[in-house]
Amino acid sequence: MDIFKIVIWGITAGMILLLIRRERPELAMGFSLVAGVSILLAVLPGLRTVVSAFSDIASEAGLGPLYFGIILKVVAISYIADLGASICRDADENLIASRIEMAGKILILVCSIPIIQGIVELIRTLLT
Amino acid sequence: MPNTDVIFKIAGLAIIVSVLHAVVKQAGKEEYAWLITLTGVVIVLSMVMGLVADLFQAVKSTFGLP
Repeated sequence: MDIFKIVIWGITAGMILLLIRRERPELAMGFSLVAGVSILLAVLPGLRTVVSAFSDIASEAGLGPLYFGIILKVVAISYIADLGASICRDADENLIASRIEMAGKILILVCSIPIIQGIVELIRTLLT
Repeated sequence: MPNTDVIFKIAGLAIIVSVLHAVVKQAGKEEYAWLITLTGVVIVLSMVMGLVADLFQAVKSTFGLP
């Protein structure tokens, strides 16, 4: 089972991290980044099958590939932005963390503009 | 689990840097102690960056981004 491996991995990394953080807090940031990234890398292949299943469902439901691609892009942006923000917050850099989150929100807004345009277009066709 | 070697490498590096830092500080060379810390940070950063690039590639290919 993958979850046992990941939990054991996380506990081990946390124990070593406690040891390092007292002596070298700047190296502890790199250590926690590696621990988090390797956990995410371990679960990403499972997510790939989920994404392909969802794209099958979306294409069967007649949802355009444009909109589904936007949803996937938004999920990926939030995934990466959350990783970066939580690493920075862990190192007590709250300002950088909140800026990363803000940038993620702005990029998501930029990505979702076609959906908003689609809604406006739909309303216009309904009204006329 | 993947990347076991990287994380233990970083842990070992942190211990070595701590010991070197303490030794150099005891010898009364504060400026070299700082340099040792900086070198450790640079080495760890170069290890971390490869892994982060792997993660970004994996996320890109998973979500089908260009």
